[in-house]
Amino acid sequence: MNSGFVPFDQILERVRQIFENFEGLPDGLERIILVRDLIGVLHISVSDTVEESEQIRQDLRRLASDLSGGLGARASSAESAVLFVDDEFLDDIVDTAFNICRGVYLVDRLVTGQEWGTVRDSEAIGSAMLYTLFSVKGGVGRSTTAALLAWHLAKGGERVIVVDLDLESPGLSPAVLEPPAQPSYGVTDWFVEDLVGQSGQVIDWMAGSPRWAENLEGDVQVVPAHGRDPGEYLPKLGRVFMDIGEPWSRRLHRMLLQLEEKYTPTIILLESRSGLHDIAASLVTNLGAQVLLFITDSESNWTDYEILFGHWKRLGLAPQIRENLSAVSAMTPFVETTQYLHNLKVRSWDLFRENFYDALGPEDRSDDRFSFDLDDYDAPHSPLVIKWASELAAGSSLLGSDIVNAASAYGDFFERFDRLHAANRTYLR
Amino acid sequence: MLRLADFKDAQRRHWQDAELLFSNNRWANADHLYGFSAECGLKAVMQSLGMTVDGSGNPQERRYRKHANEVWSIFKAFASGRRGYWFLSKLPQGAPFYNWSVQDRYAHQQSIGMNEAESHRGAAMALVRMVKRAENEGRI
Repeated sequence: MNSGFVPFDQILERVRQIFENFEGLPDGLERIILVRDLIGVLHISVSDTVEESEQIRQDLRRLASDLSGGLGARASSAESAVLFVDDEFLDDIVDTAFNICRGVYLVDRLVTGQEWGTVRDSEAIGSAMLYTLFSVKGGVGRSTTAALLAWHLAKGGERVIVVDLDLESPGLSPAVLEPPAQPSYGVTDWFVEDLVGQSGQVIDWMAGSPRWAENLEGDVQVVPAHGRDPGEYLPKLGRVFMDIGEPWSRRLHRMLLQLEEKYTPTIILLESRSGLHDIAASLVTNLGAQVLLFITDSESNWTDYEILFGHWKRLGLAPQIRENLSAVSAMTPFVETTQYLHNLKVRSWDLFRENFYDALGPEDRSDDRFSFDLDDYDAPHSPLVIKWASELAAGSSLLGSDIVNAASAYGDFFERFDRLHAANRTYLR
Repeated sequence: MLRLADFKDAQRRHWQDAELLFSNNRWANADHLYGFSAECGLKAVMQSLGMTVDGSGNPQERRYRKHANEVWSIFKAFASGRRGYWFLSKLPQGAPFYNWSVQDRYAHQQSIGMNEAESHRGAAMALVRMVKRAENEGRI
């Protein structure tokens, strides 16, 4: 086959064809894992238990040559394309693999965003429940919602920690903490000190409590991106994402454990960075958190979510992630609200149905399957509604009693959140 | 007695000795040592990226217990993340050691000529430079 130009998006289709022509796997092989390396070139990896079989080696050479012929620059040269590796390693990586056809898997090696393709269950952060506030676009009210939700929960007696992980665009702390209440250190300081074994020196000084939390039954601690004095913020930020010795999300998990030990929260709210970024990947998929997906009814918003949901579906991760997701209608307009929410719900339903919901046969009962009607109030696609209100415009103060005014836009949201939280608690405990 | 592996040091000494042989037109043995130098350089890098070693300092996992011709491809295929990319971007394209074999130590010296030794020298040199730079920048 003359490969010509093979763009990235044609790789999978070509591989499928090549294996069809090859009529499946060489005899004696159970699986082939194609590794798509950092520059997008494919290598064949197989168990080293077959390394001594001349017949299999010959078949693999033929396969390598077919791949090289069919994929051109997208396949490693036939002489060096076959890697013999230990089964334990193949077992590990096949977990994050995409099944192309029978016995053939594809694993991606990425410079960034590797964690979008892995879903881990929570290793408990003590007894606290984790919620991630995520959106594909910025400026949709994640910080404000984090603050108001913390206030609402603490009013009901919960002990809440809010962590600002929007490190490239931090904003939570100045909005809710008056300067004297702002702590000396923040999340960036923890990561930078952790690199030299000093995280224990900052953990006691990286949270502050808003004034409005003083008379509430519960407690609110806000952990900002940086301390009262940001210090050399950019040189620190440039060092935050080091994953020496352990993946970044494991380091984050350790930070949360240390916070948990100090403040014994019942709920931790994580304000994620927006967009398809590494931090967001960790917060959405790697901590076992319940994820609030902030949505506005715009085409680019839906496209981004289709990319993300489609990625999880292709990798077979839907069953692991879908129960953790809840749609949120952010900045819901106050004119023609009913129509707007109906449209948003229908689009959201389509998105969830296409990627995550089980198809129901005539005999299936919906309560046996992960499947929800359009109007199911508690379904993952059915949005928690945050109304737009002038008090919520970006940069608004939530320092003192302002928070009570702003809360008027959150009545519906709080009610749904409480139901969601109660259901999660029952499910998890 | 089994001595403890030290990949960074071994990379350097194989390289230095290969250069001595190369400058004396001893192509076959120079070529052999360029291969070992490259293997050790890659293993030093992989160790810094998380490859675990046993009590003798050798890779614990079987996929890394290979010579230059194979370990080069293993490294290219499985490197990931920004740190992996930093190293990968400094390696020559392709698989320069695909025609190098540890078995060649038994081959007739005239079967390995200057051109072959020179191409392996280029790849081994890229690795020596990369490891040195990584050391200077505290990456390894």
